[in-house]
Amino acid sequence: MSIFADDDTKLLIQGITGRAASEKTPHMIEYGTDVVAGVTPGKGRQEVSGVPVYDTVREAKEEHPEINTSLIYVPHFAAKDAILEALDSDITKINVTTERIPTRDMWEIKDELEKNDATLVGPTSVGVISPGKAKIGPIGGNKAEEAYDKGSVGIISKSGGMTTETAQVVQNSGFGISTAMDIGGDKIAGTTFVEALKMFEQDNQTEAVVIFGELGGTYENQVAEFLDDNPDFDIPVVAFITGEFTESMPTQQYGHAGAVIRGDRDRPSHKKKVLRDAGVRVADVHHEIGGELEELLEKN
Amino acid sequence: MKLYENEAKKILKENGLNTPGQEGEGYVVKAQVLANHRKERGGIKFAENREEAEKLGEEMKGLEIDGQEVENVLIESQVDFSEEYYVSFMYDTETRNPIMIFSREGGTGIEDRKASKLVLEDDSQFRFRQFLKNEGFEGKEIIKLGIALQKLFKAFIEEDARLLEVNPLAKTVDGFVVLDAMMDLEDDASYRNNWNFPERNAEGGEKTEREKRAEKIDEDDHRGVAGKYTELDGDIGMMLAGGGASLTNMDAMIEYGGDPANYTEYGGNPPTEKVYRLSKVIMSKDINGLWHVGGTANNTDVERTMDGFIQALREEKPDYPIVVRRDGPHADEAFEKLRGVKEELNLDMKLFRNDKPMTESAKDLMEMVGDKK
Repeated sequence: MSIFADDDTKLLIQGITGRAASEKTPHMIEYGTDVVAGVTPGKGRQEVSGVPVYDTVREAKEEHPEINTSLIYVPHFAAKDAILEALDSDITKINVTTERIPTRDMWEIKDELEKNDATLVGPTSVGVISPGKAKIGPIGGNKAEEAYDKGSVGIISKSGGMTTETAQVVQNSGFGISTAMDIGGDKIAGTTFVEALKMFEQDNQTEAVVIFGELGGTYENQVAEFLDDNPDFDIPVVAFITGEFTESMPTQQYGHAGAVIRGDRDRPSHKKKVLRDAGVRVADVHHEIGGELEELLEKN
Repeated sequence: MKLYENEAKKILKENGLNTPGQEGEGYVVKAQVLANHRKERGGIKFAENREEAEKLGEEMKGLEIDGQEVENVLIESQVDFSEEYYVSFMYDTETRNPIMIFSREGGTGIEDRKASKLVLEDDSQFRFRQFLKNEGFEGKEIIKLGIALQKLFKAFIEEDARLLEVNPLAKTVDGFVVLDAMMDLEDDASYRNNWNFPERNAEGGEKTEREKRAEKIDEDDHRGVAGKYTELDGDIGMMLAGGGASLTNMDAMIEYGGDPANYTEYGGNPPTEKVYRLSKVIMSKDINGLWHVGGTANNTDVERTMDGFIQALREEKPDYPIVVRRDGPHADEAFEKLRGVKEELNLDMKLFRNDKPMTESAKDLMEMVGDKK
C-alpha cells in the first residue's frame, strides 16, 4: 500500500496548460503516474504531453469517470474556485501546488472539504510520492526514481525542498520510503501532521514515520497531544524541527500583544520538548534522523 | 503589509466603527511608525489646544523611533473613557479557524494579563453575546459591545487581514471607540483589494551597511531571491540556499560549535550577478570559514548560481577554509568549475554533492577551521 498516491491514482491536473504545470506533467507521466486528463478553462481540446485538456472539471469527469485525484496547479487568485470545482465533481483527493492562497480562502474551503469528506494536501505542496507507484506534483523533479527508493518509512514535511533531502537521509541509513508527503507550511493546512499520521496508521507498508516540522503554528504540537491521547498508536515517529536559531536572533520586530499572550508554543524548542515528552525521537541535526531510525527499527 | 495606525483606523471607520474625532477639549499627537512603545520613545504627546498639538506634531516629524524616521503624525481629540478592552483577531492553527482574543483589562501591559479566546466558525452575532455573557458582562452591554466586536471581526475577514488588534477599545458615553489599532493585511490577497498605501519604511530596528547592500540586490533585479541577509556576530560566513534548508543548516552549524556571521537564504533560480553580489557581501566580513550549502535543487540552476560564487572567490581569494555542498540541475558543470577555481587559487576548499548529508558537511568545515587555528 502507501497513502494518497498509489497504483490506483487516476490524476486530473487543473491548470495543466500553465508554464510550470506543462513542464512538470511529462515528469509525472514518465514516472508512471496515470495522468488521465487536464483542465484549463478556455483551452479545451488542446493536449499537453498527450493528455487531453478540457474546459471544465465536469466535462473531464464525464469523459474519464475513473478520475479520483486532482492536482491543483492554477494561479493563487483562481485556486479557491478550482478546488471548489473539483469538489463539485466529487473528486475527494486534492493536492494543491499553488502558493500564496489567501488564508481566508483556505478557511472557507475547509468547511467544504469537511462536507464532502475530502482530503486536501497543501497548499504550497510540492506534492506526494509513493515510490514505484505514482508521484503527484513536482516532487523529486525529473529524477524522482533516483531520489526515492521504495520502502517502509513515511515522510510528512512542511518544507518542499527538505522533503527530498529528508528522503535521502532516510535512504542513507538503508531504508526506503512508503510515501513522502509535503503538507506545505501555510497557516491553514488542508492536511495536518496528525491527519497524515492517521493515514499512515492505515497503511501496512509503513513501519515508521519521519516528520519534518518548523517554527510557527502548532501542527507539530498536535502530534504530541495525539500520541499522548492514543497510547495504542503503534507507528514510531522520528521528528526534526527546523529554525531553533531564530529564537536567539537579535531582531526587535514590531510585535503585537496577541503573539505574547498566546505564548511560545510555536517555537521550535518548545515543539521539540513536547514531542520528546510524548515519546517521539527528535533529531537535533537533520542527518541524525537516519541514526534515530536505525535504532528504532532494529529494535523491532 | 502592516498598516500605520491612521490607515488602520480609516479602514475600521469605513467598516462602521467609531474612532476619535478631530475636534475636542484636548488633543493627542501620535507618531505614525511601526514601532512598539511609542509613548516611552517620545512618539505620543498630549496638547491642550489645536495649535499646540500641531506644533508638537512638527517637532515630532524627523524624530527617529526604533530606526524609523517619523514622516507623519496623527492628531486626534482626547477621548474620555470608563473602561478599556483589548481585542484581537487572527487565524489559529489549533482549530484552523479565526479566533478572537479579548480582555476586560486592555491598555498597556496587556501582555501580562489574562485574556480569553473565542473560536469563530462564522460571524454570527450570538457567538459574541454568548462569549461576553461568559466573561461576566450583563444587560445591554452584551448587545452593544457584541455589535462592536462583530464589526471588528467582519472587518478582519473582509479586508483580508492576517491580524487585527485594537488596544484599547474604549468604552465612552457615546459608545465604543477604537483608540489604537494595528492591522496586518495579507499581501497575497492584494489582487482583490483596492489597497493604495504608500511605500513604508522597513520595520524592526536599524539595518547595517551590509544588510542595506544585500537588500539592494533584490531591489535592482526581481528574478529569484538573493537579498535576504541578516548580520550576526559570529565568524563563519553562511551562504545558504533554499528556505527550509537554510534554517536547517543554521541550526546544524550552531550545533557543531560554529558561530554564524550572518543568516541568508537565496533561491528561486536567481541570476549569476545576484549570487555574485550576495557572495561579496558575505565575504566582506572578517570571517574564519565559509559554508556554501543547499539541498538538491529542483528548479535553481546550480551552474548559473555557482558561477556568481566562483566570480567572488576569484576576486576575494580567501585563505580561510570553505565547504561547498550542493546538488541539482547542472551540478556536474558547476562542480567541474569549482574544482578548477580551487586548483587555480589553491583554495582550502572541500566540495560535496548530495551523497554527503547536507548538515554533516557543517562538521567538515568546523574540523577544517579547528585545524587552521
